[in-house]
Amino acid sequence: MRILIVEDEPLLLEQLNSSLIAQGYAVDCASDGQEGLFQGTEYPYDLAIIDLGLPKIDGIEVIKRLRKEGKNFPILILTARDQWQEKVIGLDSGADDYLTKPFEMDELLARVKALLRRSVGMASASQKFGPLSLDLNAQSIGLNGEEVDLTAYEYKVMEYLLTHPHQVISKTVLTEHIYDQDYDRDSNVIEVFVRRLRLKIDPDGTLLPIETLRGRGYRINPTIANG
Amino acid sequence: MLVFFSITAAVLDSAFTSAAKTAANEKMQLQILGLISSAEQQGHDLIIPTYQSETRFNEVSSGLYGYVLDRAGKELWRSQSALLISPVTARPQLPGKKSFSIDYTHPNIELFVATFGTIEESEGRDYRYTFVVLQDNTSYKLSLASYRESLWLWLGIVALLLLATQHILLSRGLRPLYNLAHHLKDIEDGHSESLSGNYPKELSRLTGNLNRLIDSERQQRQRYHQRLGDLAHSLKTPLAVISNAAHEPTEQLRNIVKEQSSRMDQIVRYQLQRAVVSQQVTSITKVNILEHATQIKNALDKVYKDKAVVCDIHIDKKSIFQGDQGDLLEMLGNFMDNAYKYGAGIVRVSVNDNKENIEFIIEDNGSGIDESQREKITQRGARLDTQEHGQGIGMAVVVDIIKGYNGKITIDESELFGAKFIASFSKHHY
Repeated sequence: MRILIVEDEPLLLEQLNSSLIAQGYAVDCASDGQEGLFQGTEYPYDLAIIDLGLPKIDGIEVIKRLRKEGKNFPILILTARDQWQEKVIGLDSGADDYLTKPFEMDELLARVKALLRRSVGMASASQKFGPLSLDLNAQSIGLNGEEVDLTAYEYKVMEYLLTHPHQVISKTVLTEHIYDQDYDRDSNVIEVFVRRLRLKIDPDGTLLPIETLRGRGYRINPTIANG
Repeated sequence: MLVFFSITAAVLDSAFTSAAKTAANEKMQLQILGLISSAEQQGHDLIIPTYQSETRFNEVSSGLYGYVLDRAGKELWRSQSALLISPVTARPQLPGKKSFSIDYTHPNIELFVATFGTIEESEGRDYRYTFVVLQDNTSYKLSLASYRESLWLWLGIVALLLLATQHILLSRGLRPLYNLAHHLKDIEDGHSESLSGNYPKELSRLTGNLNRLIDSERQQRQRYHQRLGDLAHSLKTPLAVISNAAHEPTEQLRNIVKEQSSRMDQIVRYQLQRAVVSQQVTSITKVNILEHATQIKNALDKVYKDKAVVCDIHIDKKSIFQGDQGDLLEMLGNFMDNAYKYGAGIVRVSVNDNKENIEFIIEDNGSGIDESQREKITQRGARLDTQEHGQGIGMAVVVDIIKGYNGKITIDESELFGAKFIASFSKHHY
């Protein structure tokens, strides 16, 4: 999952960045409203964390413009003001949740996870897909109740495919959502991850969890996706 | 006023000049008639007596001169007085026609020129003549100068009287405003606390409002001062804990810093909120309750999406809260946020509105609030540094707002089996 952070306080931006990266997210950072709006419009994010008091373009305006551009990824606002008037204005402009500064990083991560989960239509942090199970909090994939040993990127690919069941996901989309913009991309890497995932999850070749649709991308096997 | 008097003077001057010229013309026409009546046509000749009954025609350079011109404009007769002056500008007139003009052609003298065309008949033949009278207009000019002098004199006197009257009226009329400015200066300089004294009823509303504004500003300043003091003092305890913990082992130090910084955050938030909320109703605006409750519901529905809370709002769309919009949002926001947070998925927000009171009721189906805790929550102004750990600042702020409007907060058990918060306000709270 790829997250955009728009925050003008460098120290807080760095703390957010490193905490989210540590959680396995691909993270892009912007330090003012203009840059945030540009990145939010140009790149496919799964979530944005936007501070309300930003230089150049304020946070509310950034959110409004992103929504106007048809960007419907969840937005978490950070605000130094604790009044309801501010919260109502922020949520009314298109944000999905708010967090008042100062906040605990654990609280922020919990909100991020909840928003991401909600955005892909999962009612809880863990969900079963036939013999497979996905636990967003533990960041693990289970097979018949046993955790499968995956690398961080293998998990990211599988998580993205499972949270978008019934959808054909191209290698480009997968690359965009698991890497941040500074990463030197090579779409062949995705093929390697998928091959390894197939070997780890389905060593016998009986389950066939990931389908390849030639020239289009990958999809979770509909039998598994339907549970 | 200068323009007004200038226009008045010009109009009066023009009217006087015109009337004087008309009078001179009429008088000269009468003199012409006198000449005509003294003239007699005998054969081809017009006989006019040398001496006229108007004696000024008989004296040389008397200022009144008579002439008779034939139809070609050739002079046939002139009076004794007109030995040195000729009717240079006079032209022959058709019978019955007359004219009046001024002749400026003579050096050092201006003359009124009146003419009248006539026909004399003799032996069946008509003879056309033009009778001309010139009159020195020096007397006219003198009377005009005298008129103008007295006109300006009186206009000046009237203007001065008007100015004086205006000044007296204005200074009497504006005196309360001067007094007001003076009193405001006194307040600014710290010599006085409010606007005192009797003001006319047109100003009493203004002074009343100014007094309220000054009072609220002063209270706000005091409040800020007090909050700043409270804030500084409240922060000292956690600061002391942190500074004493410097020698603690890392793990304990981490816990202490985390705990105390969280406490300091709560203190700052609470004092900030308390400083911002009105505390006393100063801006009385009519705020639609349903509109704002719906805004908060929409916001909370987003935040608590996972909980799928059913929030019923029973508020008449005409219900109005007379107070500050921010206060209403803060109160409803905190009440409803608690109901969403601690309820088990059902929230009910209702408003009972009658002539005397308005009552906000927020209920949920959570585990409710223990009776022993209820009084503690509804107490105002409990210092946060003395509050127990985990007690939210939201309710403390709500209590402050309600008390600021002289309202009352009660906590009860809801029919939904959860907590029921009732905030009631008298409509005469301000």
